[in-house]
Amino acid sequence: MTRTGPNRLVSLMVDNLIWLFVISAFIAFSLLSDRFLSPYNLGNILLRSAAFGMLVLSQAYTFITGNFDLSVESSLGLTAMFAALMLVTSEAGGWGWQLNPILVIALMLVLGGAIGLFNGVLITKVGVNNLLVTIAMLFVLRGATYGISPGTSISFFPKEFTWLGGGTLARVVTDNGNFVLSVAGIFVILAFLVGHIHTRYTQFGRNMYAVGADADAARAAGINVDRVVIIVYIIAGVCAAFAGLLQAGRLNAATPTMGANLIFAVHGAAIIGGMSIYGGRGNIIGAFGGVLLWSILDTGLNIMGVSPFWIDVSRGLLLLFAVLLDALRVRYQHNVQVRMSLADTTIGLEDKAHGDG
Amino acid sequence: MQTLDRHHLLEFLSRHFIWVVLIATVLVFGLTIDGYLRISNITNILITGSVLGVMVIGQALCLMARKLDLSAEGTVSLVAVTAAWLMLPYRETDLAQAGGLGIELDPLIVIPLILLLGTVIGFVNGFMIMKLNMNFFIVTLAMQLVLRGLALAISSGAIMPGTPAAFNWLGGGRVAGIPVSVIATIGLYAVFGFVMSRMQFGRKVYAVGANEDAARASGFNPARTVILVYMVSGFLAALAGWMLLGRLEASVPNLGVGITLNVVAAAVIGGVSLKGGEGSIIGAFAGVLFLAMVNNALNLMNVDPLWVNAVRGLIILVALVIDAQKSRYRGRAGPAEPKVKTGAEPNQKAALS
Repeated sequence: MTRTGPNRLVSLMVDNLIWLFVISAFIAFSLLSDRFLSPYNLGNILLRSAAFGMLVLSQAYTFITGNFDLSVESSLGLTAMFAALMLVTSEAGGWGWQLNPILVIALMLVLGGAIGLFNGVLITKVGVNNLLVTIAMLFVLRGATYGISPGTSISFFPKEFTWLGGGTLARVVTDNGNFVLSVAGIFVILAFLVGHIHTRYTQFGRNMYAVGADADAARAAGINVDRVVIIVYIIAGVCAAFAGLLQAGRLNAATPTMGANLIFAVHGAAIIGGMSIYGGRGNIIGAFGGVLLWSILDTGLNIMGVSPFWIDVSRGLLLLFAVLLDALRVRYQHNVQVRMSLADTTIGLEDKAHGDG
Repeated sequence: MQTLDRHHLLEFLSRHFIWVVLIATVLVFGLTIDGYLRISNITNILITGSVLGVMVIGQALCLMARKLDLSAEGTVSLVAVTAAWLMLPYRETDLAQAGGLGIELDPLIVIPLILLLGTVIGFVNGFMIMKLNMNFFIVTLAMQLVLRGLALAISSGAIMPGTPAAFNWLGGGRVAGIPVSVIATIGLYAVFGFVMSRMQFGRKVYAVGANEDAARASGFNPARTVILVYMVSGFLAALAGWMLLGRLEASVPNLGVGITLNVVAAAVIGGVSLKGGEGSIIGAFAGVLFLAMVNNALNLMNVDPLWVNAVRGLIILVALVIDAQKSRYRGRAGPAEPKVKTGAEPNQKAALS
């Protein structure tokens, strides 16, 4: 036992490496800049990661089943633009319907889900490669966003519509500025919690992991693989629509370029949070760690006044450093595994007696 | 006997399905669009397809080795900006334009330098992925961010116009009326088609992509092969950057942004699988031609610029749905092809194509 004690601590750290990154990035920026720890900025980190977080959640779902959905960044843009056109007057560039905001939100989510359903059916029933379908849809949906837009941004939405993305739950006044507890921040945390419970503790979630690990084996075990994949794409589409709602609500505007070129950053955050693009690995909570890390880096570098040109460079370098540590983790875990399987054989008789206790 | 022949014909068609799609596309566009088959327009298709084509070779190699290179578009921008920066005379940066470093290097020095730069970037990618066991997706994504950031920092985000004529030869020059970029691209496809189907390096790439552990067990070093693949990808991205800069005669800060999606789409439409170990260079070439033709047709049809992306996406989608019927047919034909994948299968395919 004396020997496994410190090992267990190391294992715990190694298993939750993403949180180690999050905490170290947090501490590092707190030391580097005195404004990073200001109440205002802490509230801002969560708020700014909300829409991005919903996209990462959508990818976490598809990644678990071993699929991609690159179209979510365009779904974000299209659903937001679609909602904006239904909300505002024709003088403001909309269709002049001025529908009830609650109805508009419902329609947005339905549109997102329908896009997901379309992707899922093409992938499973028609048999088109998932990456290609969603790349094509990325073009189609972005094009449609430009097509239906009046060519400019649309702004000033009703309060009910912007509440989720831009509303505040609580405001704490301090000497250092105000801490704002945003609705969006709480929403994204809840969404990830629900996602975690759904993928971890339900039959459907276990089926998702089974499909991602080996679709043929899952099919042989009686899982309806097509159904699982289609539902996952619908969930991804709805998440993307939520991302559109959060983003449009926060900015109180919808532009045709909203969400463009986000997808690889989204994938980066999910993978650094422990997800694998080959499926069956990682968990939703880890992906949330990826979201936090990404937005801490974002706000931290911004607050330190790093020039926008160099932000990308430093973001890339930090990402590389994180993957290097991750690679070392995999190597460490591999070594531990080898040691354990050696201990299980007769070679390591002594260790086995102590270890299994 | 007759059914057997029919089976063979269908088998042949499904194996080379992308070419069927390509011919159908030529016919449809040729009949419906005025001037589509004019020589000048065909040349135009080939010129615009050449940069994409060069990048697709590198990406196809990476895909065959079951990897991806997201950094290639970053290499294109960094290489183009660096080349312009080294060659152009100094001037104060104003809102619209930036000048060079002021050393006005000769293109004959700059060209090898940027090709070397691309290769080194590829080596760094490959080294981190294979020797340090880092995830290839994030490594190349991070590299893309780094390279693009460097390109923006060097150019201060401004345009650098006026590259020398000797440099522009590859992208804008002509030999006997045929654009140099087209000749170079076709030459590269011939070389890499040969390398990947006939030479040991090609067979090693397929083997690594099909099963890295099996490749290691069979006695060669996958790390070496993959690092080489990334070096080739970096070199070709640099070449594409040179070509693009030569055609535009000015380095633009957001050069190549978003081209990766087109590159991957072209390769996969051409039959290169993301799952590694499959596809051929000649198939990838067909994928490039298909995308270039669609882009050109959209220009000629005067599609509302706001809708161009949507229409292009739809056309790609339709092609994919048709293409999927092919694999479905082959899936049903079952016994004609071994269902169980072996390490040897990709090699046989390579030898056949």
